[in-house]
Amino acid sequence: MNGEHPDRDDLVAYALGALEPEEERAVEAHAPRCARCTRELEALVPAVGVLGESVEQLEPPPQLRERVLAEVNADVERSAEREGPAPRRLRRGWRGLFARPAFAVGLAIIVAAVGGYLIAGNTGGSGPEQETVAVVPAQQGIGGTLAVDENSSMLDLHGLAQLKGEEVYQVWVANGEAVSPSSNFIPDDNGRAMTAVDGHLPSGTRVMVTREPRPGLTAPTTPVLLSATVQ
Amino acid sequence: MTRAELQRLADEDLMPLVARQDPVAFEVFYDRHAGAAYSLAYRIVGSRTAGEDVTQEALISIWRSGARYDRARGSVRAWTLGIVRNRAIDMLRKESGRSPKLAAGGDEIIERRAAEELTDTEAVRRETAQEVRGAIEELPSDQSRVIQLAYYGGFSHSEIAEMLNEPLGTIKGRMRLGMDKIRAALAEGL
Repeated sequence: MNGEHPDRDDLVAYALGALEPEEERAVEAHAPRCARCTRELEALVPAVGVLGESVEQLEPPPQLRERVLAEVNADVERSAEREGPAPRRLRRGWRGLFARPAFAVGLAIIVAAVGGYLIAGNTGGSGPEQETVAVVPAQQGIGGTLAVDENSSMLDLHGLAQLKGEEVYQVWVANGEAVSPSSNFIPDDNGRAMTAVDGHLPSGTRVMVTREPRPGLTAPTTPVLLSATVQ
Repeated sequence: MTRAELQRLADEDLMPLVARQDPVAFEVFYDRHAGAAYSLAYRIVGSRTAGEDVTQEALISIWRSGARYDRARGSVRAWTLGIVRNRAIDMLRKESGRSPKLAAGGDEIIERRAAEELTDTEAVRRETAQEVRGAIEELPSDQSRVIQLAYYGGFSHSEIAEMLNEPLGTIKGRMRLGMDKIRAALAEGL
């Protein structure tokens, strides 16, 4: 301490978290009542902040996102149980499936990548009105889930490449030989997207996604990127 | 508010919605900051598993605490990273005898993605980090070292003085000089 005030060196060390506990307590007791020291500490905030940002930037693993959002979902659900009418649930609660034991459901969905490689097989559900499969990406690239409800289903995809010009991702619904267009969408900057597939999807329906040069096409013009077959 | 609308909000406008426990707002927050949070956690604790645990704990604490973000504390990014840093240092201290990781290791390479795979947002984030890192690397090594030992290693100035066998006053002076240079670089736009 320099008279009433901490040394400037000590304020810098405080900002870096480098003071001993008793020195730290002394700064914390003094600074809130001292405009000069408060100004000095505030001026150090951006410089300390850039230390955190200056490290080599890494890609967080996808399962970290799933785990964090599953905890958030669980909190929302607990809150809903305590408070009655449910607040808005995140993605209808299906992200939370990653943190729960899978349980049997009457409807199984197989999500397969191009070429018929199986990339999913983990079934679960969030209620009697919805059947969901959680898809683990089996390859670098696209992955996701399809949640089937009675009258509307939801595709949740990630790993999508960014589009150019008028391009869109187009969802197609195939029943037997008949293929009809459903929704189209553009992923966010992180390559993620959610899109609704309207209407009842009976057993055997195949939901597909292609990357098309423009919206409004009536039949696929490019290879199927992902498909999900309701069984 | 739709997801698209939330994604257009500035961080400072997003945080009140996170504080009101809007899970979609939190998801937008996660997508913006989890990468930087994980990168810092990994840098401090030195392992992928521990880095994930620290990141998860820190971000969930923000969600559950009602996100007590105050604009006066700087940017949302800096505030978030401060929470991550504290969690990571706590973990290091709990694991007594463990040395902090103070230099970038070769194993980081396995987590890097090729530049062409990066989204625009990620590319900008990494470019910014590289610029900041460059400014810090320009510091004299003795100043850079004490700052790194304090911020990434969680050592007190007394511990650093003992470790480097230098007088405490010298260590304090190096910290101050180094931080003054970083502030000056920031003022000049790096």
